[in-house]
Amino acid sequence: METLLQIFYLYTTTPIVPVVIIGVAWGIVGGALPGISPSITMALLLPFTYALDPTSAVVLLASTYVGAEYGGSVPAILINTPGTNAAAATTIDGYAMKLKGKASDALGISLYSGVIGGIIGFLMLFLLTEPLVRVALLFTPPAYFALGLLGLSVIASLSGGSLIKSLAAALIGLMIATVGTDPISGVSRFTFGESDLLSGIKPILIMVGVFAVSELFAQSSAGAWVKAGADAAKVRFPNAKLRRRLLKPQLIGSGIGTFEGVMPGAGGTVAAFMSYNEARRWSSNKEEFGQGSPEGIAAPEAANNTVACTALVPMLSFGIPGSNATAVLLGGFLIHGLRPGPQLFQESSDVIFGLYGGLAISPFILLGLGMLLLPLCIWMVNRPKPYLMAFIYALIFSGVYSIHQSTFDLVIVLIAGVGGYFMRLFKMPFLPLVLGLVLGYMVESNYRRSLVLSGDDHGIFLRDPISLGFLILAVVFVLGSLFSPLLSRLWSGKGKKQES
Amino acid sequence: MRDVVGGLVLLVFAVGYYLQSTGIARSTLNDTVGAHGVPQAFAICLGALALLLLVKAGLALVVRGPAPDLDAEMWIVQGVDPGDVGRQAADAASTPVADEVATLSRSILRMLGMLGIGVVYILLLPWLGYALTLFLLIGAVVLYQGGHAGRVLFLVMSGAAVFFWLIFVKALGIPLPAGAWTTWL
Repeated sequence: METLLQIFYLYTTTPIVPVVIIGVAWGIVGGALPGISPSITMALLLPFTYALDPTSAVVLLASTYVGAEYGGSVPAILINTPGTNAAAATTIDGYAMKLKGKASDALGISLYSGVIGGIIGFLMLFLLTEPLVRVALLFTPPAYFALGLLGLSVIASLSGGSLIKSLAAALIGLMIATVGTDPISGVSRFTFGESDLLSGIKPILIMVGVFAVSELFAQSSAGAWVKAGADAAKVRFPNAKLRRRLLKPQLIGSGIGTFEGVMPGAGGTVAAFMSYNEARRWSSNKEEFGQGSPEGIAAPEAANNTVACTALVPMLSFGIPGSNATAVLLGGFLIHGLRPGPQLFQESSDVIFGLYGGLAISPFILLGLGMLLLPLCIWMVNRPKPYLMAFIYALIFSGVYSIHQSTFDLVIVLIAGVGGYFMRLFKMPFLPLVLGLVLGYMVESNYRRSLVLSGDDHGIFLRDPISLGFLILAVVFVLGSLFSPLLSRLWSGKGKKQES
Repeated sequence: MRDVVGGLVLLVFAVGYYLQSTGIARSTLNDTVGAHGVPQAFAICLGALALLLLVKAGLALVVRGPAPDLDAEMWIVQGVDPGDVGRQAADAASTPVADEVATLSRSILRMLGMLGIGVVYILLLPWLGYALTLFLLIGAVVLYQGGHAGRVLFLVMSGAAVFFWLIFVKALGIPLPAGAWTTWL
């Protein structure tokens, strides 16, 4: 009750409501552009958050995430090109409905399900975060070190593709985090005599470079985007009968979204596809899936909008971002000298209440803006790609320069962009890199602090029960990801034998 | 093949980083791990991973031969149309390695062009000032990406320069460079 009163107080005394409106609007428009993921949409905003107070900055980024998850479904339905990775599952039935002349209905189902997912996601965030924070209050330096390792191991094992490449990406992030002044002795490391590097490389610069600039570089050799017809520039909400039918897939989507959001590394894309499959499994209209089923849109959209909130649970409780978008949000916290975790709830509770307040109203603002901004989204998608790219490049340069009025920052962003481009080339995931970058300080400083406390006895990490638990979990995750292909191969081999 | 190159790049990076870490100053405030300890451990781990990647990629080359990746274009651009995945995979499977290399080279050259535009922007910014450099940036990117030169482009360049200047300099109050040329006036 006290929390609710605090949130209402913030609505009346701070600019949270207009900030959420701006964030959701920016998210919808950014998410609607093919290739511009929620994390890129948020990264483009990061430089602007410097000028804001911490609460507004964090609320702006979080509401952008909410808007972008819906925005991604607009091109998925209209031009069969998902604006975000998580919206890829929506293309299957969304575009099929569009081909049947039901684009407005598909957009309505997507928006309605996104709002339901957002509301459930917020409730889950509210209910799950505080109990976890109470656990996190018991953490000691060894536990924090082990937590950092756990975060890295989970992401490395879940980020898909090659475990070696994921671990390598995480290590590169950790290496970048060592640039600057040593946390214990104060000597400078890898600064090459540059005074700009003494305070380290700001995660925001790497994030903008890796997510946004590398995307521009990659898009420069990609073909033009498909045009969307202006005939579908309206949203038609489902009627009562259809709303009843959509309830089951929405609950399936939100349930899976809650679980996947809380699990670091899984994210909205996995949740959306899992929800689609489960909705089909439990549907009484299975044959409609793939042919334009409303349930095939409702489940993934509810799932990825739930994830937009529940992905914040591990980030707020432990300071471990579980997805690219939450990593960028973490960057927003760090810009203002705030480190998510149990201390944040004690020292800057106003920011947490503000974030809750922003996320509580964002589904309702999404509902209004989702309808209002649809023509703008279609107009944007139909602009010539060279002009859009030019504007995004200009926005990146202007925003980054604004942070410290430093051309050195622009150089770092370009270098990070080239690095991100080659990471795409070598199929290395970004998330482990960003995690290594933001967790690097926590891992190193707590490791060395623990050793100072224990007189160089590494046994401290095994004697501390929380640390031991995290380390065991980290080993389980890494071994699990190493052996899971083998196990699944054995399993499928067994299945084939039984079938034959 | 790509993993071999990637493994080599990672190995070179790990070695370079390790060598650089040996030059970190020793301080009397150091703990037993030292300012160089953790970076060196990271470098060794990355080196080991790079070697693992090289061995894995080398074995794959020996066993399967240099096959083109099924998703020659997809790796580079996010937001791929999943409806086209099967078609692209089928197309790529029939693409010879030489074609894949040519596609990659073209992509990298395009990237270098965009990078070059960015570098020129950074170099010109202190001299020409924010508004003028941004005007040129918009024009350069549009033309580089295949847009047409003409009155529309000139109007967009001018409008964008004014729009960004109004937002950043006037609305947000950020002191962006006016340009060295303004001192000559």
